[in-house]
Amino acid sequence: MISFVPYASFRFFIVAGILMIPIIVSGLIGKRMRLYNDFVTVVMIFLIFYGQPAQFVSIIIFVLWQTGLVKGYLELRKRNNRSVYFYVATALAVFPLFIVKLSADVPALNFFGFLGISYVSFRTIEMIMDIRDGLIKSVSVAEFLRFVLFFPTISSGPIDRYSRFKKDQAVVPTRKEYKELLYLGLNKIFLGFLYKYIIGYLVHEYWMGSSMMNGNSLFSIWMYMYAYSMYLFFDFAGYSQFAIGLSYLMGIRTPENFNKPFLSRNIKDFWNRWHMSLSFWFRDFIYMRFVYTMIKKKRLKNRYLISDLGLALNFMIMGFWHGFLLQYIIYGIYHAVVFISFNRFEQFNKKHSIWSKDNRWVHALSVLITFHVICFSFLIFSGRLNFLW
Amino acid sequence: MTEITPAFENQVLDILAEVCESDEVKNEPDIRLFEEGLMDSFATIALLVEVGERMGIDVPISDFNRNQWATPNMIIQQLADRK
Amino acid sequence: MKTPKIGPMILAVIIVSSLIFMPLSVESMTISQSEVYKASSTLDPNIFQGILMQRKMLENKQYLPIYGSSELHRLDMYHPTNYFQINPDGFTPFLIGRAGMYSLVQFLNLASNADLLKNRKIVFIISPEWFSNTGLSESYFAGNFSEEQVYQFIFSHDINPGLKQKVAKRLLQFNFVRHNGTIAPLLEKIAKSAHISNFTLFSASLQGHFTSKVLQLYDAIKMQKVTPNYYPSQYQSPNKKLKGKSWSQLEEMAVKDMKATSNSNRFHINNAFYIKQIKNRLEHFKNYDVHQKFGHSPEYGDLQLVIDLLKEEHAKVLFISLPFNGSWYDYAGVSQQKRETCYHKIVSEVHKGGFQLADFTQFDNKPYFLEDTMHVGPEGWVYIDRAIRNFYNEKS
Repeated sequence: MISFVPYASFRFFIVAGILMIPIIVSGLIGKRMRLYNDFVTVVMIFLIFYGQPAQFVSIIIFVLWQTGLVKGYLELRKRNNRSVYFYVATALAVFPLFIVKLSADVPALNFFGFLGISYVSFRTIEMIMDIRDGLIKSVSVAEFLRFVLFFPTISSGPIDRYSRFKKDQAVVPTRKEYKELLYLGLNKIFLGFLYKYIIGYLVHEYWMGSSMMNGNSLFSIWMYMYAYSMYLFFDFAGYSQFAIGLSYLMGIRTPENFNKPFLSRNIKDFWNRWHMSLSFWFRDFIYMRFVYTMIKKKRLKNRYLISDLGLALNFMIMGFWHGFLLQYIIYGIYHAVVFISFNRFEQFNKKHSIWSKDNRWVHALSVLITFHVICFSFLIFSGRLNFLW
Repeated sequence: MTEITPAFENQVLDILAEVCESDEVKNEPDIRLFEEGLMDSFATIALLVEVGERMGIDVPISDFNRNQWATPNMIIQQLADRK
Repeated sequence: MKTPKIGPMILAVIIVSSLIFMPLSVESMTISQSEVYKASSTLDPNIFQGILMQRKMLENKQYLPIYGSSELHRLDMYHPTNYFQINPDGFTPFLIGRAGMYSLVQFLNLASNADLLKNRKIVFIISPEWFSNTGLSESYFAGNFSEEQVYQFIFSHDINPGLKQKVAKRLLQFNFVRHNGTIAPLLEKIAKSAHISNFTLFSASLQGHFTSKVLQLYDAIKMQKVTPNYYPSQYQSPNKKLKGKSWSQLEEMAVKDMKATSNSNRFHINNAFYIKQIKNRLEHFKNYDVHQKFGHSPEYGDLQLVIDLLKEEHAKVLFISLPFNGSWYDYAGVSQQKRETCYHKIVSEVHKGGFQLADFTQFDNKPYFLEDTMHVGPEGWVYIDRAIRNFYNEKS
C-alpha cells in the first residue's frame, strides 16, 4: 500500500492526478459531484496519514475533539454569549496544538500530533472566534469536516476562512468559470514545480550546500543568510502554489500566501506580502482583537502604547507558534521590535517628511534595507546563529 | 441600496478623518485608504469602536474586509447597509 | 480571463518525461571518459550504488575492474592502482568495493550490467572474514544496498530465471527488503514464494519502472562529478622507485617497509593501528571470536550466486582468496582448523565453477601479507599485482 507526504513525491502527484480526473471532467460540464469529492478527501487523508499509525490516531482524536468543541460552543453561544464560554472554548481549541508545540521541549509528549496540526488548528480557532462574533450561525458536521480536512491545504495551509470556504462549496462554478479555474490551477501547479523543485532545489543543493557555507566566519554566515532566505521563499511559495492550484481544480479559491515579498518597501508592507494567510490570521485574531478590547474597555489611553503592546503580543505568539525553541522566540521578538520601530519612524516621518515616498531611488533603497532586515530575521529563524546562545 | 443622508455621510467622514489623522479623506472620497497608508489595522479598530459608540452601528471585526471597505465611499455604503 | 497558454505546460511535461525516460545508453553518454578515468580510483560509493559508471567502465576494455571490500581502500604505493601506473601494462584497475560489500552486494553490481560481462576480464577478491556465522548482516546490506541495481535486476532479461529465483529468495531474507512496498512484491513474484495479486503486481511494477528511471537519472547526474572517498592517511602517491623492479625485489622492499612499521607486537599489526585500537584492550580480544565457526555461513551460498552468474555470462574471472592473520585469529579464538576449513570451501567452490583462483591462504601463518588483522598490506599487494598481471596477459 502506498503512503505519502503531500506534494513531496511523484507518487503523490500521480495518485492525486488520477483522482482529480473525474472532478475536472465534471467541472468542465459545470457540475460538482459532492459525494465523489468527499470520497477523494477521505482517500487522500487516509493515504497521507495511515503510514504513521500515531499520526492517524492523532488526527481522528483531534477532529472529534474539535467537532465537539465547535458544535458545543455554537449551542452555548445561541443561548448565552458569555465571555467565559468563549475563552474556555478558545483555550480548548488551542490545547492540542499547545501539547504538540510543547513536545519540542518535553519529548514525553511526542505520542500526539500529526503533520499539519498547526494549520488545521487555525481553521477551528477562527471558527470559534467567528461564532463569538455572530458571523457563523450554524455549522453542519459535514461542512465542518470538509473545511477542516480539505486535503490540498492540510499539511501547511494556506489558511482559509470558514465563511469564504463555505461560499465556494455552495456555489458550483459555471463551465466558463471552471475552465478558468482549471487553467489557473494548472498554471500554479507548474509554477510550484519551478519554485520548489527547480529553483528551491538548486538553491538548497548548490548554494546552501556549497563549501563556502562551512565554518562560522562572518562571510559564510552572511552568504548563508541570503541562500536560506531564497530557499525558504522558493520552497514554501512553491508548496503554496501546489496547494492553491489543487484547490482551484476542486473549485475552491484558497487565498494566496505570497505576493513578491522581497520587493516590500517596509516591514509593514512585508507582512502584507509574506505568508499572508498566516499574517492576516494573526492580524485579525490576535492584534486586532487585542486592540479592540483595549480601546473599547478604555484600559489604556495612549493609542501608540496599545498598538505596540498588540504588536509585541502578535509576534511573540507567532514566534512561539513556530515552536517552543529559542530561535523562533528571538525571531518573534526581533519582528516585534522592528515593526514597532518602523511605526515610530512612520509617525515621525508624517510630521517631518525626511523620507519621501515618491522618489524611485528612495523606493529602491527602502526595498534594499527591508530585504536585509527580513533576511536577517530568517537567519535567526534558520537556527544558523544558535551557536551564539 | 440604502439611502444615505448628507448628515450621515459627514458623520462617517468626521470619524474617518479622526482615525486616519488626515483630512484628505474628506476631499478624496474614492482614495484607496489601505494602499495609500492612511489606514492600517489599528485605525480600522479605532474606526469600528468609534462607529459603534457614536453611531450605534456594531460591526464584528471579522466582518471588516479590506477589499469591501477600501475607500471612504465604500465605508459609508457598508455602514449605511448595517444601520 | 487570461488567454490560456497550454503550450508551455505541455512542453514542460515533454521535457521532464524525456529526461526521466531517457534510455540508459543515452544517459551513459553524458559521462565523459576523463570522469571514468578519475572514477577508477576514487572509490566513490555512488559508483557502486549506481549502474552507469560501471557500465561505461565495462564497455571500455582499458579498465580491469577489481571487485572487493575494504582492503581496496589501502591505497599504498604497492596497491594495484599505484603499481600499474608506474609499471603500465595496458590497463587501468577500476576499484569497486568498500566495507560491507560482500558477495551479495557485488552480485547486484555485476547483475546490473550482466549483458556486458561476456568474455570480460574481471578480478574478484574474497575475504575470509565474510564467512562468519551470520554472513552479510542486515545493517551492512542496508548500507550498501542500491535500489537502482535491484530494479535493474528485477526487470533484467539477461539473467537465467532459475538463478533469478534463488537471488530473489535470498534478498527476501532481509527485513528491510521485505518491508519495501514496491520491491518486495516484485521479488516475491520472481521467487514464486507467495501469491501476489495481479493488481499489486501491476502497480508495483509500474512504480518500479518509474522509480528505476528516476534513480537512473540521479545516477547520471551524480556521475558527472565523482569525489575521492578514502582517508588521506590511507593514500600514498605512485612511487617511481617501484619502476622496473623484479617481483622479488619488490617483495624485499615491501617486507622491509612492513618490518619497520609493525615491530611493536607479535601479530605483525601496523604499529599505529595496534597502539590506537588494540594495545590497551588486548585482554578484551582474547577469544572474542571463539563462537565463530567459519565452516557454515550464508556467505558460501552468496558466493555461489556470484559464481553462477559469472559462469552463465561467460565472464573471464580471477578470484583472489585472502588469508586470515593467523597469529591474531589464534589469539581471538579461531583455530587453524576452522580457518583451513574456510579456505578449502572457498577453493572448492571457485574450482567447481571452473574459475581461476589466486590462493594466498598459505600466508595465513606467515607475517607481512596483511598489515593488520584483516587488510592487505604492501607485501600482499605485490603478490596480488603479480597475479593480476599474469591473469591480464593470458591469452583469452
